[in-house]
Amino acid sequence: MKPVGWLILSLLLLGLFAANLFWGSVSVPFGSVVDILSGNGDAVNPTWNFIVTQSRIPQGVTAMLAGASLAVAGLMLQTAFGNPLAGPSILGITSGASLGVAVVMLSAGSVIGGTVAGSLSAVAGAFAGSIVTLGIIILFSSVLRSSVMLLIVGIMVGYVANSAITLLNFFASAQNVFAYTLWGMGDFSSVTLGELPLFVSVSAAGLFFSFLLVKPLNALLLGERYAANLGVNVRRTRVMLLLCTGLLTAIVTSYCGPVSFLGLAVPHMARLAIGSSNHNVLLPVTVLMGAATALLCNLLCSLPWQGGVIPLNAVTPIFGAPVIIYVIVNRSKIEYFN
Amino acid sequence: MMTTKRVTVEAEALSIGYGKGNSARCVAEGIGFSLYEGELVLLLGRNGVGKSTLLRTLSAMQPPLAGRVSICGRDIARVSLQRLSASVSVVLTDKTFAGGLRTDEVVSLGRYPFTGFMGRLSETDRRVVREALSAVGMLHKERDYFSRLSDGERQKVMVAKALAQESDVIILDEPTAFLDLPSRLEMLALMRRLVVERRKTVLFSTHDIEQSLPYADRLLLFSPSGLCCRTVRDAAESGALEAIFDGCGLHYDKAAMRFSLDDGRVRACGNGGAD
Repeated sequence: MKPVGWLILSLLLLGLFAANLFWGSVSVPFGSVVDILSGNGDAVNPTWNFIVTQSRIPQGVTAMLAGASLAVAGLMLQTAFGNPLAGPSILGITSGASLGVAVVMLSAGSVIGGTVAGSLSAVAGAFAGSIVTLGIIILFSSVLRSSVMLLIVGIMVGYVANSAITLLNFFASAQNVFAYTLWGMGDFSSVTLGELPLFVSVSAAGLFFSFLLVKPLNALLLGERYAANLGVNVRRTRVMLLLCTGLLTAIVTSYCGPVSFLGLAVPHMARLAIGSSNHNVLLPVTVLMGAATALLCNLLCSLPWQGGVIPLNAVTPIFGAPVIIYVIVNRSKIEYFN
Repeated sequence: MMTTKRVTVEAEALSIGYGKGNSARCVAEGIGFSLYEGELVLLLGRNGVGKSTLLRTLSAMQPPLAGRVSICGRDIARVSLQRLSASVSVVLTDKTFAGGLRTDEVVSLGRYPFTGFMGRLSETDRRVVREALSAVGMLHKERDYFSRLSDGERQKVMVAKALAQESDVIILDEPTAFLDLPSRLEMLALMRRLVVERRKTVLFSTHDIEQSLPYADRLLLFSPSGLCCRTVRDAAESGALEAIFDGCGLHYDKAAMRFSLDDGRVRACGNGGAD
């Protein structure tokens, strides 16, 4: 990609991040936001100060990293499974996280009352759920040679998790079902300023890890047998890819809920934008585009509805679904599909 | 004359098949042969006899049930994946997902064992890639998408990838399958050139026997009764070539260099007594 492309993408990301600080469900004057950001927060309305520093900044950072993480996880899975329609939700990892949250929210009675302790235990539940499913998938990956078969096992594990969730929902109180349903709608605002360091360090570690896998990912484009002949330890690489995508999906889903479409659609947007499947360029572009798309979606959740916020998963399909439909309809003309 | 040449591939008391221990399914056993630098060897045999299994075992994609394979004097079970990939390269008919890469990027992947952690290409790597592309006559399409190439061109690019690996041995699994006649002949001529000009050992399996024979030095003849290695002339004269189709009533006419049915009639072709 040309330097000007990187510049445009970076500026776009920066602009969207700024937009997320300046706009929100509560209207804060432009000048006051500038004051707060430049360190003169004491001079403005303390409510506005609180909104910008305690809500909008962590939410912007969360959206950015969550978008990047899901997009990268989707890209790695699509390459690893040689399937352009693979995504973080398909391996059952998201379902595992949902099950963890369901166990905490639905069976633990009144733990959830919007308290910090409640939300943290939900996060822990989601993380535990996704790591357990990930463990099951990795266990199967040592038995199954074929990636497609592994993909199917992942889908099946997801179904089993969903059946447990259905059962938990059935026996839970209406209030808890509602709380769980809200979690399932996705939200970038649940990482507090205090939890931000944890979220940032785990997702950044996952993203760093993914950059170390660029070389084997490129070899895997030729298929597993060619990759093995090129010196790739296919089995070990597969476990590392699963660990990395699992970590990224787990941390994001734990805090933000099962965010749909970002992981599936952004890698396609990135490939179409740069016209290449070469991960040396594709991976960083996917990171930037994932972050930008998530910021845009977050903005749209509140922008047209001053005073209210709509759920994230009401917005992401509006971007994601058309991309996938476009790609499927035009697949014979799209290089990376052939 | 043979004795002055360097041995590149050596199979000793090799058993090939799948699985381990009691559940192992043996496809063939007692296989032994040596291949030399600068020769083109065809692997011939009927479907299901185990050609692909043998090629996979020789390229260390699956372990042998027993016995030993050495490439350039080193037991392949004991060398690192990286060293192995620089001594034997493969060309398969697998579907790839590389359509979004440029031709030169695909060939660059052949440099995988030589590049560093992030796969950055050195000047030498770039030179080798260009040379490989020009050797297969695809340099003019180096910036084309891999998906925009014809089947024959893709196959040539995969040979260029194998050349970029700078391995002494190139193993190809049915490289002429799915190709039209001009591409098939071009492919055969290309492999002949690699053997003559670059002293490579080229081993490939094929069902296009009549077309491939003129390009070959020796034959690995694989039948249910075992595997034997013959020069082309010897195989034709001794009847060993016909023997791989034993029970099918085929006759090889040396003068015409063609197979024909013994008596012009189609017989029940025995895969174990279908009649």
